[in-house]
Amino acid sequence: MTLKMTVWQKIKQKLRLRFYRWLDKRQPASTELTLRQHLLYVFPSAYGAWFVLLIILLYVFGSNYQNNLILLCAYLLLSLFCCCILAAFFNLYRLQLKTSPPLSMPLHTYAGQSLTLSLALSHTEHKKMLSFSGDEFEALLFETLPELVQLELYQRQRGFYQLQRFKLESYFPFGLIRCWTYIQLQQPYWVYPAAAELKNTNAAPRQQIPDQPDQLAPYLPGDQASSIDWKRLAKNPWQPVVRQNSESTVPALPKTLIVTATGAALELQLSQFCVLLHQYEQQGESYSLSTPLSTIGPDQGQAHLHRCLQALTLC
Amino acid sequence: MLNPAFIPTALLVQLMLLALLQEGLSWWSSLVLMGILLFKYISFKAQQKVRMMTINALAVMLCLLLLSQLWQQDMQDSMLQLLFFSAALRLFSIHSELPHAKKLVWVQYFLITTGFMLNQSLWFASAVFLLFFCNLYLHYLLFAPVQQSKFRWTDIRLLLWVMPFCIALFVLFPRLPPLWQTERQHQAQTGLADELSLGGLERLVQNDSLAFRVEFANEKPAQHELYWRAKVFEAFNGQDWLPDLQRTPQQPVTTAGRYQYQLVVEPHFQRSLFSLGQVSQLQGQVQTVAAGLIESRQQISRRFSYSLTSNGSAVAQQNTEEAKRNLVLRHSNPQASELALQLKQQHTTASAYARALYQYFEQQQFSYSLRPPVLNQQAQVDQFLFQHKVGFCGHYASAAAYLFRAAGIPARVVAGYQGGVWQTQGDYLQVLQKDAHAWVEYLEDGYWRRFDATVIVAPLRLTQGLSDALSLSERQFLDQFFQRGFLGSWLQQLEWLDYYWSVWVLSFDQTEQRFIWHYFKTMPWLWIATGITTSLLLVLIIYLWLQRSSQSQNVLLRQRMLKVLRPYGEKADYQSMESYLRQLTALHPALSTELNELLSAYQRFEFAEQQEQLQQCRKLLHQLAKHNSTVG
Repeated sequence: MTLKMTVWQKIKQKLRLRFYRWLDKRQPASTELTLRQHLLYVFPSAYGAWFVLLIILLYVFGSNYQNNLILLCAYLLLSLFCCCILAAFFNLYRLQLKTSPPLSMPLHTYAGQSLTLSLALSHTEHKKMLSFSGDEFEALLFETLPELVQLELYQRQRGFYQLQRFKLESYFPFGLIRCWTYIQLQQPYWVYPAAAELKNTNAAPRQQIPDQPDQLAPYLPGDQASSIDWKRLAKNPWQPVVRQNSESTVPALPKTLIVTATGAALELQLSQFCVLLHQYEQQGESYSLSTPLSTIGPDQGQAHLHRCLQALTLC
Repeated sequence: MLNPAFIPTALLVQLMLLALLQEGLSWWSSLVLMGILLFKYISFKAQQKVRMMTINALAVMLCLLLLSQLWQQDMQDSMLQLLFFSAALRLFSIHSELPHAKKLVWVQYFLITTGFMLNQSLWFASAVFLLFFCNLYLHYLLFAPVQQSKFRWTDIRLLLWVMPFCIALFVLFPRLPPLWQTERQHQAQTGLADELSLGGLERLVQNDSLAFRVEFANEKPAQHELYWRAKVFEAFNGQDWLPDLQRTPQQPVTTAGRYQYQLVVEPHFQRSLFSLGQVSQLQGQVQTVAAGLIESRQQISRRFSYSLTSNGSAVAQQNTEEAKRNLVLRHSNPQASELALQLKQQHTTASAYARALYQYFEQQQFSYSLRPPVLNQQAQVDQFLFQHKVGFCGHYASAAAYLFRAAGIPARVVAGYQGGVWQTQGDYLQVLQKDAHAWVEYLEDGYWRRFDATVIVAPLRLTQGLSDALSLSERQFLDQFFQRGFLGSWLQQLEWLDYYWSVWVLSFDQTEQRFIWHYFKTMPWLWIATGITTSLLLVLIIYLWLQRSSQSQNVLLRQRMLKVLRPYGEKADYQSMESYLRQLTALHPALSTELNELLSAYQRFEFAEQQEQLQQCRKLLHQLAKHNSTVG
């Protein structure tokens, strides 16, 4: 039974993939999209099928009793059905979707937090009962369309994502005809590593060190080799100690964070670094980051921060 | 989430439906439905949810009850009741679930439409259509935004699109013939009975409901020629005349007739139809049967329409068998037979004999009455002819037929309707049940001639109608059956609307459809096509022109500025209007004041939306143009 199910699911999966590939060719991702004829699909809903059955029944009933009024009712329902096809189509036609305008920083969130994504809609007049549904967010039904639709994306693991194809559908009016479309919008977003509470990190207490020259502190990756207290190193080679100069006296040296951990420790380190990067940025320090994949030179500012965070994300 | 207006509207619809479909519902089912609706109303007010178990139990009970009643009821009525029960119980179960509500709307569409099985008159049909649209509204509520319970203009526009499409389908969509025969079992027949007693037709005469309506195409026959034949009775058992027709379908004689007419018959749950004299052409689902009568192919359970052509002449004899059959006298009325023989000796030919009979009825002081004394003797014809001498058309017809047969002249009794009332608004004839009549046909020279003793006894009956032929007391007796309220008489005024409703809508059938298609084919398509294209072109031109004139004034102003200022210097594409004007000011210092004024006016109009600046712009442009022309 389970085997059958899996086979069936596999087939389904394959079909869906093929369908999406076809859709990708038809509608490549874009930041702005107007729903046109080639994107909209129109087909009777289940209730529409029942409705057609009703029409057929009435037609047979009216023919058999040669009752013109029953036939008239059947024709009325039939023409309603046909007009609904058009009405359902025009309920979505020419609707314009736009991803949120490019901000100074890329769209991002932290792992374990949800992300709100806003889409700007235009040509929303007379468009009703539209539902948005997709794998990435809770389905939403709008009775009348707002100018700005906010999609609450589910929480995800760290990474760089692209907003997936989602479905826009409407049964308005009369629920006989379903008009729908699968939309791919060009909307990348980052899920940065979760910002963890700082524990066992030596960076935090270091900030609280008062302005005293020649303060000693344990060596941290990134500390300059020249500041290592070599005498102490000789005594205790497993605990290197650095001589720290107070910021007021010595020009601040760029902080360097190096991602060294692997496996389970990696995530912990990443989230710690995430917090550190924010701290450095807040304090206006210059910092650099080195990951196995890339190295980012010392700098500061929002753009730099996000570059670093993105590098962390991609570890 | 169900629209809060849904349940109250649905309740109202079902209540109205209950009132409308009374005719098809038995008393107990009406009561049960009433109860269900009442309970639903109470539970809706109290915001209580009804358990599904209760509803299912109720449904089973009702089904059993319906099954037990099945043998006593018409199948169709049972189906109607079943549908209604399902709709009411479905409504009962709805609390806020959309799927239930969807099913309810579906069932109600069907239920409302079955209302047309009961009655198709204009008033009833309008009520049913009203309910139909109420149901459509319910359907709309299901899928419309919850906050908005009213139709918007866009939705009404959709309905307006539906209408012409629906009418086109009705007129042009191919129709099927009936798939299986259905006859209503327990439906009481109305109209003429299948036998005619000596004093028959009394019951009908007291009924002023509509029997049928006729519209003549060209010539209209005189009032005294309007003998609508419906049934022929050939066998007499001393009291009743019974039909003895061999149902041998007969090909109609296809000769041109004088009178061409269309009849719309009210449902009477029989097959017999009405015609004038010898019928020559038929149209519709009808056929000729023996004795020149017309019959429908199936029981008439709805308004039924057909067209005939007659020339108003006597019906032809079909075979010798017919003549023999109509000579049989199984019962004897000695006095009448003696009278017949006497008269026959004096008048040898059938027509002379008929004239003698007319004379006899005239001289013997016969009188016409709706309340004749009861005939209780064995020889009823004798009792009527020689004792009472008072009777109604049934008496005269059967007595005359007896006298003919006794004299050796084949004769039979024909029942049908006589006369009718011309409707002034509609130019059609309306024949009521009270116009029921009976007369005699005797055979002479291969034709069945009409003999109607009522012509002699009560001549006004033919020319003026029944009530004028009666004495005052009898008229009062009759009037008591025709009490009509104010509304009734007002509706009577609008009867002609109902007539055209049945002619144009109810009786529209394949024949007329074929005719329309044929008409379409023969239309001058070339002309129509050119007409349509030219009108489309015209519309396009007007549309473009309107579009142009409605272009924003800003655009027009800009166009005009460019046109006027071109002689002073070309505007580059990348330049804004402002930089262009500044450039012109530098080029033509002489015009700097005008150009600067123009610039400021333009800016104020364009950006500060000061409409009055438009005039200023135009004035300046005019000056500039004039200046240019004087310079040039």
